[in-house]
This record gives sequence, structure tokens and C-alpha cells, in this order.
Amino acid sequence: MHPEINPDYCKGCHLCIHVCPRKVYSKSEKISKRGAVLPNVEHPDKCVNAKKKKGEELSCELCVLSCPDQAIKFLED
Amino acid sequence: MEIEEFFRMDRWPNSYCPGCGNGIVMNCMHRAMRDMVNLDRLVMVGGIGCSARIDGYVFSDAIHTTHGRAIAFATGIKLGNPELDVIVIGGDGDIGAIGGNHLINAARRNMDLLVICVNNWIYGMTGGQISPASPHECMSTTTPLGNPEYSFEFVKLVAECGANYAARWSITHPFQLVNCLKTAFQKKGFRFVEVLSICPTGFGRNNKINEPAELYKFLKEKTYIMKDENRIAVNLDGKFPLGEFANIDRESYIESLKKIRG
Ligand SMILES: Cc1ncc(C[n+]2csc(CCOP(=O)(O)OP(=O)(O)O)c2C)c(N)n1
Ligand code: SF4
Repeated sequence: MHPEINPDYCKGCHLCIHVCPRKVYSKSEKISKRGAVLPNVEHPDKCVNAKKKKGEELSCELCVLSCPDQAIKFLED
Repeated sequence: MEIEEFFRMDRWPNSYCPGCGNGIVMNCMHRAMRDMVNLDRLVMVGGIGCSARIDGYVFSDAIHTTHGRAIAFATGIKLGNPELDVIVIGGDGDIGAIGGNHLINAARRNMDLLVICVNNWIYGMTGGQISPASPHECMSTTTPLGNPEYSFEFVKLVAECGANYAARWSITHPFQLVNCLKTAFQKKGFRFVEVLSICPTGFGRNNKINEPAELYKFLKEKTYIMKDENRIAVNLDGKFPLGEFANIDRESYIESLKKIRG
């Protein structure tokens, strides 16, 4: 499983970059339709959930809880 | 229950500024309640302010009331139909300033309500004036030289008034906040959860903390998880203890009413 950012919800606050203890996220140059500077899921393999399969319980999820815009979801690889 | 069934994603993106802590409170509410809430039986009550708008995003019945009066409306709703789960949500200004007297009396009565107070230290919606919860010496639009007052600590007040549950957490401690909301949701009587939060627009800008991540870090440094002796001590060093200030099982208002009426 890896985290993915919904570009329609993200407002570019970059709290995910700040809170992730594994440095999965980074700044990018991508600008969303609404003008937000989107973060990049640069190292999905570094996420503690990287090896988990659908249905398995995820751990950490600090980015999901700390995203003020409900823009982060874990998707299957 | 998935987040799409809990929140009205048809209204997304939400109306909050980038980096606003209200969204984190919403995540924690969903995580805490998704397994036990019955949305048909839930009523969300909000007053006026940015945090008070969270009520309108939940897929339950909701009422948006006048500024500061959410607890009074919620009391009426709960007494009208005690089967309902009634949650009040609002900011430090709404619940602790203009609504302060309702807060005190609901806690004294041990009224069966869960009150979530999102304390971002400022009046966010009206442009960053100080509230009674603003820290000493902080800058705001109404205190350009720094706040001469010391802040009001709602959790301690509520605990002293006899509420069954009073706890303070912060958006920088989301897992503890989820557990706290779970506990609070299941208890009877008056339950008060204060969540320290960030308002990058009202508080951050006035205090020259321009990035949401920087403000998040600042808030984290201002808080610590308390030991028991910190429960009641007045906070003069500018650091906010987090944890439970009260967790008792005093007779709730509805129980007391039933006993008297027979
Ligand atoms: C009776 C009344 N007085 C004043 C206002 C203006 N007003 C709107 S929101 C607000 C303060 C909100 O601050 P807070 O409750 O801390 O919420 P936040 O926006 O920070 O989440 C005030 C004073 C009002 N709407 N009604
Ligand atoms: S003004 Fe402050 S509290 Fe209101 S939405 Fe913006 S950041 Fe959030």
C-alpha cells in the first residue's frame, strides 16, 4: 500500500512533509487546478505500510490523520 | 464507516484555509467515532466561527446556532429527546468567551453532552482578535504590542465545575486525541474535550509564523503530556499540559432528572 494525494482536495499546506517520520513526501513544482503547490509522494517504498496488502491493518498513518483536507488515502500497489 | 459516509464529501474541498487545524480535528473525529456512531441518532450543534462550521460537514442532523449559544441549544435538544447523541463543536471564542456562562452551567449540571472546543488561541473567522484563551504576550489584530492578559484554561474550569470528563489534547497528538474522543463519546454526563489547534491565517500571520508546518512545530513545543501534579496548577510558563483533567462518573443531569421525577 502507498499513500496518494488527491489533487482536487490538497491545498498545499505541506503538513504531510513535516509530520512523516520516514520522509516519504517532498516538495514539488506541481501546481493543482486550484493553484496549490502539491507535495510529491517521492519515496512510497519508505512508508511503513509499503509492504502491506489490502485488508491488512495499516500502521502509522500520521499523514492521513494530519492532512487538514482529507486529501491522503492509502491505495493498493 | 468510511470517511465519505461520515463527512459530506460533496462539499469538498472544505472551506478552511490551507493548513487549518480544523481539518485535523475532523479526521480524528471520524477515526474515533466511525465504529460506534449511529448517524441517524447523532445531532451536531455548532455556534459561529470556523470550527463551529464542522457541524455542517457531518452526515448527521446539524444545527448552526447563534454565536456562543450552541450549548444552550444542545441542552434543549438532549432534553427533548434523550435518545440522541448530541455533540457541540466550536472555537475557543464561541464556547469559552461569549458562550462561557453556558459552559460553566452545563458542566455544573453535568448535562449529557459532548463538547469539542477547538482552541486555536484566536478568533479565526473575524480576522484574528484575541480570545480569553490566547497565550500571554501573543500578537493579534487587537493586541499589536502583545497580549497583556493570561489565558483562561477551559479544561480546568470545567473539571472544577464537576463535569464527568475534561481533557486537553492537541492536533499535534492525533492518536491520543482519537482515544480521548472515543472515551468521551462513550461516557455520560458533561464531557469536554479541548483541542489545541492552529490558525495559520489569524494566529500565524500576526505572530510571524508564516508556514503551517512552522506553526505546527511551535504548537508542539508549547505542549507536553502532563503528570498528575500539573492538573490544577495555573499555567504561567506558557506551556500547555495535555491529558485528562477529570474522568469521573458523577450522576448525569438526565439521570438526576429521572430520579427526581420518578
Ligand atoms: C453575537 C455575535 N457577536 C459577534 C459575532 C462575530 N463573530 C463571528 S465568529 C466570531 C469569533 C469566532 O472565534 P472562535 O469561536 O474562536 O472560532 P474560530 O473562528 O477561531 O474557529 C465572532 C466574534 C457574531 N457572529 N455574533
Ligand atoms: S481563519 Fe483560521 S480557523 Fe478559520 S479557516 Fe482560516 S486558518 Fe482555519
